[in-house]
Amino acid sequence: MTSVRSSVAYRIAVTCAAVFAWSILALGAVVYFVVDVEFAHQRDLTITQELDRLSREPSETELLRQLGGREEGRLHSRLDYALFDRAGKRVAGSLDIAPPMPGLHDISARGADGKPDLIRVGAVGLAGDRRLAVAMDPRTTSRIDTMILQLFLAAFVGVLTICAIGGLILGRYLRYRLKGITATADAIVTGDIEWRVPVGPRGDEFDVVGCSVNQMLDRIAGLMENLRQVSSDIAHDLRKPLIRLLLQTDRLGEGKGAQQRVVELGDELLMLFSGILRIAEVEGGGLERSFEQIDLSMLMGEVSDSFAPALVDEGHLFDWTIEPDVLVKGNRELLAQLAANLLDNARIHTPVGTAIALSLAYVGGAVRLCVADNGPGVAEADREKLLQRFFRAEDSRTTPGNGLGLSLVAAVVRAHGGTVVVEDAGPGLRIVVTLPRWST
Amino acid sequence: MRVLIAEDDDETAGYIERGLVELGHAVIRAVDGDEALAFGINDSFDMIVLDRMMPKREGLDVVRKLRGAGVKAPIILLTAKGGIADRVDGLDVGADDYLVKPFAFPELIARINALSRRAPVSDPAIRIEVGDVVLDLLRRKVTRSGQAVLMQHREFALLELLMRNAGKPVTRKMFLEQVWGFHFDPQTNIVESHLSRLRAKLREGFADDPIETLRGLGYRMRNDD
Repeated sequence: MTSVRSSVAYRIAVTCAAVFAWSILALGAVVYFVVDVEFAHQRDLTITQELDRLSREPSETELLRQLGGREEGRLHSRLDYALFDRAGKRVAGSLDIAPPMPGLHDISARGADGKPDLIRVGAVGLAGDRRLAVAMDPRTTSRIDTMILQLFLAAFVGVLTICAIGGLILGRYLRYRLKGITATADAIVTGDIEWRVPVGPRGDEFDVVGCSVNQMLDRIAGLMENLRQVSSDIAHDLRKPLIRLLLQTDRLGEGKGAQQRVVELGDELLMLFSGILRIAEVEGGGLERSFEQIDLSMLMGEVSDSFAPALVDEGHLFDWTIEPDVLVKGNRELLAQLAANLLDNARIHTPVGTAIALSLAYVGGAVRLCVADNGPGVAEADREKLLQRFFRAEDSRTTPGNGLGLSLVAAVVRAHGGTVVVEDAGPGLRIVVTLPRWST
Repeated sequence: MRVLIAEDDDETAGYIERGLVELGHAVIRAVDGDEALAFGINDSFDMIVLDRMMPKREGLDVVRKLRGAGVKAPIILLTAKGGIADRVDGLDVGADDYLVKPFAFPELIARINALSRRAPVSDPAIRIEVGDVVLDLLRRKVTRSGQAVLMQHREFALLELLMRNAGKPVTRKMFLEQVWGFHFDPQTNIVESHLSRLRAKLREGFADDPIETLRGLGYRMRNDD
């Protein structure tokens, strides 16, 4: 369990909350400032308009009547008035201040509750050196300002709370979703490779990650199984020749033949290792560097030509049909070994008198190399397995070979981007290799 | 012949040394790449056998430096890596042959012999004569006691390899590598089949076979001189 501080989910939530809260705060400050400026402007406008209206009254009596009426009738509840005579004495209105200079001022005055207040006063000179003052009660504006501040403070606290709760929930949810992956990893660490990440039906981001992880695990499990299989096969297949070698060493004193046999058995073991290493090299990849344009027609001609005498000497019939100028991209030696292994295979596993045929041609835009025989063939169930390492069909247990020839063929074909298919030639066996043709 | 053996594995080096000394060669041993380079440059050898993976300095680098210093002696690289790319690398830097471990001692001897003989022949000889067999490299013709023997291209190449190494064994692997360019050993005896045809042609009308089989090793052209 990670601490809250180190949890990514909680860090995201806290960051979100902070960003929201600070945004609210900044917004509040801006609104407060704008409203304040606008109120001040409105207030000044109201005062100026009122002064303007009153100063336009033609007669003294009318002005006094107006003032009295306004104060009484509360036409402008927020406004207070004062009319000063030449001597600066207040002759009308309830505004209790010293006569101000014309213009707009902030003046400290005693409010209705007796506390000093900063009020906004506008004054204008009238005929006869009198002075008219209009002031606005400051409490209205400050009440609105306070309300705005309170509103935003409440919003700030609210957002903080909501974010905190949301963050906790989000964190919990993320932890819950991640737990599937963590649990799987833990299970695999402790050795249970079969465990998989649970994937929900929604296909969200976590499900996508889960699917990827599961695919990766499937692949790794497959490779591990393959490796396990191969190593046990190797161990198993090495035991047989080693035991034979050991038995043979007991007979070493019995003459030159026994010694020769020991050497042969040793060679057989080495061949087996070379075969395994060759396949590993080809399957390891990176051979593309050695690929070049190969005239497969010429190469297959050479291989066929080389094998023909040996095949005939052993009592097989051998025929080859090669379309000229078949070009592929590949490694000359590996392609030669591919053909050699196919021919070795056909020779070893068929009786004397069997006809073996090699053919090479362009078929449907690809290169088709085919080695067929009319021998006993291979049971359908075993055909695909022929390409597996160390596989040997039941009735070929006694023939020489190590079960690696065709798996090298398969590896070479794969390295060249081709496919290999084992077919029934009715009668006999046909192995068809398809390779991509050379393209510039 | 003076042979330099650079091999860090004591057992392998001792095994090669004993074999070569028994055959009458003088052997100097180097235990790492730096020593091999120093010996190779300061001393003169008829043959250098180098392990590819040595402490202090890689075998490939030793070959490159030796060739750079003008050392002309034939070099055989020994390696545990038989990969396709590895072999090309080895020959690219100037080694003359490449032998994958483990190998049979006679195989190494055959390679050493072949290389030590190749040097004088490397000038464009147009005629090789061994006993009563004459190889005309220019016209690609073979005669035995003046009598023409018709040969296929590959049989000619087999015979040429045998005659260049007359009196010395040529192994199956050497045939496969030098005549076919195959660095693998097919299970089908293609070397044997071709050689038996070659021998039949040479033998026709004669009592003796100029080529002899060395069981478990290869073939040898009889050299009666």
